[in-house]
Amino acid sequence: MSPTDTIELTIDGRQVTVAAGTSVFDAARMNGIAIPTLCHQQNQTPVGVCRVCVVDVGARVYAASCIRECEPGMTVKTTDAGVVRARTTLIELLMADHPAPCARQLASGDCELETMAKAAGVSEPRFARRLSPRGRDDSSLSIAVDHEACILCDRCIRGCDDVKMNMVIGRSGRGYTAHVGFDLDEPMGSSTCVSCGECMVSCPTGALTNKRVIGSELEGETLDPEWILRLPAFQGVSGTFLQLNQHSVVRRTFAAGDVICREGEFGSTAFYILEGTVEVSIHAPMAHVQQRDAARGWFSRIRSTLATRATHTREEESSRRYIPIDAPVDLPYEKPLAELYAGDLFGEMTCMSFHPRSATVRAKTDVVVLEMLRNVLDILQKNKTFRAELDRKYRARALETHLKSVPEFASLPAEFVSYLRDRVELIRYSNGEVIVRQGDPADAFYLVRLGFVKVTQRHPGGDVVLSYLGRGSYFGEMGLLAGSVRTASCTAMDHVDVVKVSAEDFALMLSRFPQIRTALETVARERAEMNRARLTAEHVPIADFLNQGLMEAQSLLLLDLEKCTRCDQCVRACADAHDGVTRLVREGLRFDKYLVATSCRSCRDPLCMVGCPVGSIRRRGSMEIIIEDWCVGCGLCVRNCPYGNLNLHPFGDKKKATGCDLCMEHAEPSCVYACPHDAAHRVEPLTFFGGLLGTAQRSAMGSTTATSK
Amino acid sequence: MRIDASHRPWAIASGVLLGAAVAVYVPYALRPVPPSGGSVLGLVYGGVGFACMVVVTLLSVRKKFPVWRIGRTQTWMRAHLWLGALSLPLIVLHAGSLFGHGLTSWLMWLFVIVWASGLGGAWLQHVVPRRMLRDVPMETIYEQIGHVRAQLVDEADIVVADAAGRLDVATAASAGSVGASALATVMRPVDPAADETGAFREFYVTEMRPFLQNPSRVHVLADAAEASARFAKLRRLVPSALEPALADLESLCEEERQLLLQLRMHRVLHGWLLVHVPLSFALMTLAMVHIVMALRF
Amino acid sequence: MRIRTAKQRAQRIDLYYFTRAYGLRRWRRGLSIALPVAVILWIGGVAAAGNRKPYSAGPVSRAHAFAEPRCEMCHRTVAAPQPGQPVPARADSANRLFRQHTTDGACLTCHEAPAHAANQTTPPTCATCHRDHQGRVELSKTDDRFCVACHGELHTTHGEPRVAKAIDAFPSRHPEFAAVRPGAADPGRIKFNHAVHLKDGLRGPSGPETLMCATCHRPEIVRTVTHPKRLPATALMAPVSYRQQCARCHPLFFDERIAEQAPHDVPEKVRPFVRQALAAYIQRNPTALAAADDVRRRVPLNFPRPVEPPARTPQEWVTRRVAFDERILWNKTCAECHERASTADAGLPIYEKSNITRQWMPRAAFDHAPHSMVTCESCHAARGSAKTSDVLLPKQAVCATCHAPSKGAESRCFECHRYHDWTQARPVAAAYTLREFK
Repeated sequence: MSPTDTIELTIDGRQVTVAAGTSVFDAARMNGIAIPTLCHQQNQTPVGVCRVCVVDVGARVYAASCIRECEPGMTVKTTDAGVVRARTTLIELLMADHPAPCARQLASGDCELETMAKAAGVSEPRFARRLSPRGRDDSSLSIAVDHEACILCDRCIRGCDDVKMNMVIGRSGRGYTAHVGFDLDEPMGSSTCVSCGECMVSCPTGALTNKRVIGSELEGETLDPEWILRLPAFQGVSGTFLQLNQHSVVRRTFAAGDVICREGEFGSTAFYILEGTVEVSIHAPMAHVQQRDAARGWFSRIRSTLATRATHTREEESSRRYIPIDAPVDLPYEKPLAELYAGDLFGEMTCMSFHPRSATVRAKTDVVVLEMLRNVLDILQKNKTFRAELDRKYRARALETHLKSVPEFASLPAEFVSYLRDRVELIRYSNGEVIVRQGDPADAFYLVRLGFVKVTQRHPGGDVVLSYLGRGSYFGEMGLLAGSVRTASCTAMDHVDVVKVSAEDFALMLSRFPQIRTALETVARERAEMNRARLTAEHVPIADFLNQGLMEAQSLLLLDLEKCTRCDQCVRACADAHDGVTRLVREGLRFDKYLVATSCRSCRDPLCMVGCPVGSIRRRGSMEIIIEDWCVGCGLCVRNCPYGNLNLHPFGDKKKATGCDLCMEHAEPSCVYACPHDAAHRVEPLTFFGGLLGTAQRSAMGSTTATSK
Repeated sequence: MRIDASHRPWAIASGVLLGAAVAVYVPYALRPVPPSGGSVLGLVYGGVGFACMVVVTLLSVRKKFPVWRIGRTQTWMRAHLWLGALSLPLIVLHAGSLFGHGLTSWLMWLFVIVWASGLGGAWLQHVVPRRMLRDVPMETIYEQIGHVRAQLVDEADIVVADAAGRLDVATAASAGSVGASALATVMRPVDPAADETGAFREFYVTEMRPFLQNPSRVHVLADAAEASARFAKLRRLVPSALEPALADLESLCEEERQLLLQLRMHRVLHGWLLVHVPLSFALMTLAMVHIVMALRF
Repeated sequence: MRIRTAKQRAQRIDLYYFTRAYGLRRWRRGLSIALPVAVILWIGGVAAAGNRKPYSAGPVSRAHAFAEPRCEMCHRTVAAPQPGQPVPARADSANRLFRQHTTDGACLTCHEAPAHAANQTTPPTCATCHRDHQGRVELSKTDDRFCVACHGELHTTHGEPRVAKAIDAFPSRHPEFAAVRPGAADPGRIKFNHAVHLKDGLRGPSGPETLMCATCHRPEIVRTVTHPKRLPATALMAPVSYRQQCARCHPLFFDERIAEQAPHDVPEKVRPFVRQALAAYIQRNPTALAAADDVRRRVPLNFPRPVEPPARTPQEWVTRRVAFDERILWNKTCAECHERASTADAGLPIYEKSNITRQWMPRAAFDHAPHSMVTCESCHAARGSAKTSDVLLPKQAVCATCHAPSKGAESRCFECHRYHDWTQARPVAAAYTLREFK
């Protein structure tokens, strides 16, 4: 049938003409007749699960209007007594399983089921309430799941799979135990859910609610979708979407001098500047955490007069030029200050991945911004016009600093950067996408612009994480330099933007600037060396060893409890070596006769590194983790570390994170060096516990690495 | 520090030195002039002995600058043990006789006490850490025991509140809110009709909480067997739904007991230092006075 | 269930706990400061009070006890006097602020200490042998090893030593007394037979009598103001005197007509006396000119001699009688005990000097008084001595009956010997006034 064919039918006594293929629901809607639905949503493929939209089409049974196509001459009755009774009974049955009032009803009063029930007069069902045993799922940071309120309408499934194509949500179980599950029925927070919010937006009841929306809404002026659509950035965005998500974007006005957001705070929104100029800066002092309080004893004061504590510095700190932040510009290290103008978007990482704010933004002039939640930002980013605008701005303003912030490229002259500017590709990857695969031919060099990339290498026994790369890092040069294949795989961990430099441009750069080639080759050689030195994972049978996560560790600080006299010399030495702040706590779990002290374990998979908003926590080489001076004290790494090895310390009126750096500038860590009883040892666990775990035969191979450190 | 095979070079060197010192002493003692501190050999013995004492005392200075790379603290500790053990025989050989008169006899007494306390401390360091390893699995940092205890009290409060309602709530919250709002978190309102948790709460308020706040060895819960009996009795009185909470409370009691034990053991392990260290400083001061005065007269 | 992860355990801890001293550590720190400070304060107090008793190495000897609080009496540097120079009267210490050792000069301020021997190799300092601060002992009682230090292997600066070269202890390695060594003889020239004189039933002037040691040998008695009968330190036996011990039984009658005895003197004195006595007699009894001699007194007996005519003049009578009497005197009476050395002019004999040894052991100090509970013959074997040349002094072994290390009586060197040659002693100049000892 051609799309231009029309059909004539009667709905509630009215003659209507619709295009062929239109559903009865759409036909009624187009003619002003609203049929109540629960599982049908306009932007989703109808599935006819809930049967609330049943109408009398003159057939033997009532038809679900959302999936029933119009036929010529059909007589549809939508408000017939029988239809109404059917509908009402359906709703009453659904209410019997519903924990009224559900979260949504309590928060915003717009639970579609309860609204319908109230309208139908069946808020108090006759049937005995039987609550689902599936309970609540609060594991996700942004979305609260209440299975008790779920009516299995599958809107979320369709939203996740069809609309957003994240393929996270599905149905799990059968019959009485059927429920909505994430991945393989995991808690939502542990699944591959990217918190886009599509399911939450689609859910008609309080089964999926925005955690942040409960109890507090976005402050600001909600906007008429029509007005929003007039903005050039929103050209092409679906009006319906904006209508459904009216509370997800607001307009806010700031006077000059107001603080829009502070570094280190957690948030969930991004900002788009409509008018005005803002100042972006980092207020956290660029310094190491030091203990300065005057309550130190007189001896310490005398000592500090006679012999000042060595300030903890690292020589490569001076080579850092820019601090990567969650904005279209990077902040120079010496003076972390920049400006953003109308049409700039900032706070993407916070909004998309719930990372903490990376800088403080203050209005320089009077400023009008749009503050939006993730779903709206997502739409914006999918918008081609907006995308092109963002990329253009990036190329003009930030690409150069990004390239130059790589120490090896610091000497690139401006004219080459201009040459590259329009030739680089700006590509975006979503969570889980593989950017380069180990073994593929090397054809490009990548610079990470936004998000986190996981670098892994295949080993017998599993994949080994080599590192995490955040904004400002680069990868792909090893394969290009060697002219061979990729030595590792790089996967996007969340929404990742990369700058892709083609192999020819890369080769051109290397040939024109031999010093860059030398610098890169040195780094590549070091990296290869370190990667080769990593031990492979191996299955060991000791449950305790695994449960404590000791498998993950490359270096453990063990305190031999048979020798330790609990004298605290190790702690004092650590504090002495690190400006008065200890990186080691003599508490933790025991393994064998050792206390596994709470001090960085140099994990193979450094979970602490993921999500740093300013990229200050990084791994130097393959072992020690260091935190640079510009840490803004958000505490994400502290929360991420499963063993509590990182701590936040007060620093003036702010906080900064600290962790053990294995005292790499010395031959022996200070704690081990200072223990008077030979009780402190830094060891490589698999080698050290080789006899205990039955991995003793590996010690021959493992001896090339630093074992007992 | 445990004295194990790694100390062998030190032990051998000390033994050789001691043997040499005694071998040189024998002919010196048989000379017509009786051995005395002021003779040439006596001064040599005294000098070497005092040098040993100085090195030994410097350990405490070394520990104040733990980061300075002037030799591992462990090495200094070994030196402390062996040179310290050697210093007493050397000083006795220096003196010629065991106890002098006046200042020298006080000095010798002080020295003997310090030396003996050092030996005792070394022995303690062999015995006590192993005991602590075995008997105090839940040990924490000694200085933080008070701090941790406060947290244990809080934890216990929450366990009890979770299981049996808020402690100060005598009546229940709204009875009709079965199937509470999804925002209910910690407190589950108690149905006043079924107060089976009374015994549980009473036990906690009258017996356990005071023990957690002011733990002492004379409390009935301070003895593991007694506490276990008490909990067993309690188990029969409360509904089985409270079993996990009881198990948690029992574990908290056990932790409290272990902290008490840790306190005692730590004090033993470190208490001897109260004798050894201050007296050793007094000894060094007095020794310097002795050196000056003996050379003078 | 209480599940404790490492993170939970670690996060219980306050990260700055180690910056504060707490409990035991605080006590340790406090005491470590308090005790040395207390020591310093105490030393300061002692110094301020001028009390030096803590620094004393022990109580001083009995003799020096009065000076115990005044350390500087001995502990000061004084130059020792030069030989031959008088002992300086308390020279104050030279400019030495720190060293306060005792020196010989300090001892010599109060004591005289004559040198031991001229060829002594290295004279030791006073303090070598006399070590004070050993308690309330007598400093002069030095230990044997100080003597043995040199005398065990004796060297001299020049000349051979006059004593044995290796003397260690008494009596084990002590040479036999010089007087009683084999081959030693009494140098005395008075013929005397102890055995005869100690025999029972001797014929005395008033009948039989028995002589005892004490009859002839008496200790020297020196009477002093305070002790009329105090015996002198050496307690030597007084030299045997003819007049007191021998004359009673051995008179020096020379003529039956003369009642007086000849003087106990050299022949040069006896001859004029005899002549004078005979002259006086013949002058009083001129009739004796013609008297015949008493047969009993004719010497030699049973020897036919021509009878001589009586003397014609008194001078002749005197001359004849003098010759006769001198012949008896020189050959019998005097020769009974004295040995003739030679004949001098005019027929007068020269007798040997009696050469009775006054002190048999000049290098040892012996006092008979502590030995008065022992009979003389326990030590002196007189009863069996028939020869003059016998030395009747006891051998070492006799003394060692009591004076040996295992026997109880003092057997150290100082019991008999003296280091300092007290014959060279000079008086010490007084150095202190009484006020200084108050």
